[in-house]
Amino acid sequence: MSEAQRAQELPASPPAGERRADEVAVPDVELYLPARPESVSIARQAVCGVGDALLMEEGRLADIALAVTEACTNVVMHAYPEGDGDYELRVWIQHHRVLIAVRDHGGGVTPRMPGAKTGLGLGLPLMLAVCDEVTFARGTDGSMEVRLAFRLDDDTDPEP
Amino acid sequence: MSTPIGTLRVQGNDLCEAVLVRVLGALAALADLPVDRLSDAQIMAGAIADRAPDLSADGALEVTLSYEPSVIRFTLGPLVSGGATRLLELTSVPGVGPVIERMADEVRLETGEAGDRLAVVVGRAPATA
Repeated sequence: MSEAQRAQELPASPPAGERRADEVAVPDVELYLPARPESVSIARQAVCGVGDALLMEEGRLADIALAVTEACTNVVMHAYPEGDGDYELRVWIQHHRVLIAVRDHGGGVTPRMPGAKTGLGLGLPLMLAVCDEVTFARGTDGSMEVRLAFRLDDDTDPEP
Repeated sequence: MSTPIGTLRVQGNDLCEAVLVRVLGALAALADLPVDRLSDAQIMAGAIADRAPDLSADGALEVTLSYEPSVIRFTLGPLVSGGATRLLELTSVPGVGPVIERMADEVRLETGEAGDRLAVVVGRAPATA
């Protein structure tokens, strides 16, 4: 299955306020958080709870926690340079996959050169390294969303 | 002054306990709650997760979270009419009584047009000089 085909499987994350409109897209877990540093630990532990419930292997759970931490940290650091804002974390459990979306309504995350004010620039490479799929999408309402996909059955795609 | 830190919604009973226990643990860490009170909060999370989804207005567990130094606050709901009282009853353990009311520092039932809510406070703010 190609990356494009897999990307099309990702359920549309409806705009805030319309999340009940499409029952198919209702996430298993939703978190609405202020874009403040302390929110990242809440998001991280929520996805770890999903991993606990799925009896996920420890290393895989660490990957998911790392990717979510990076995605949320990016929102906190970069999405609202002018002031306060909120963001949302959604989790869907599908057959053999966990899909996670982190959405903000600010500037989103734009790949940039590392610098004193932008951090080390490791967030995106780390997400790409540990996720099976990373996509960025801009919603019709101007929101910016990072979507992270993780296969649950590691044995289906063994390392060469 | 309590700091709001978000709202959690979980669909389906299978995920509720694991997610709520983890999230309340993180909230307790933010509040620098003592370990024994963290344990209380997590025991309550288990009891709530077992019962609250069946009493919620739409089948999902919804929890609003906030904290301040040494105190966490979480509000469950909207629940069905009478759901908050029923939840307290259902989490009662023979010989112990209502787990939530016994372990929380404050429990408040709120009734509104959207349904019932159960507000729970764990911890006490340090006394100021």
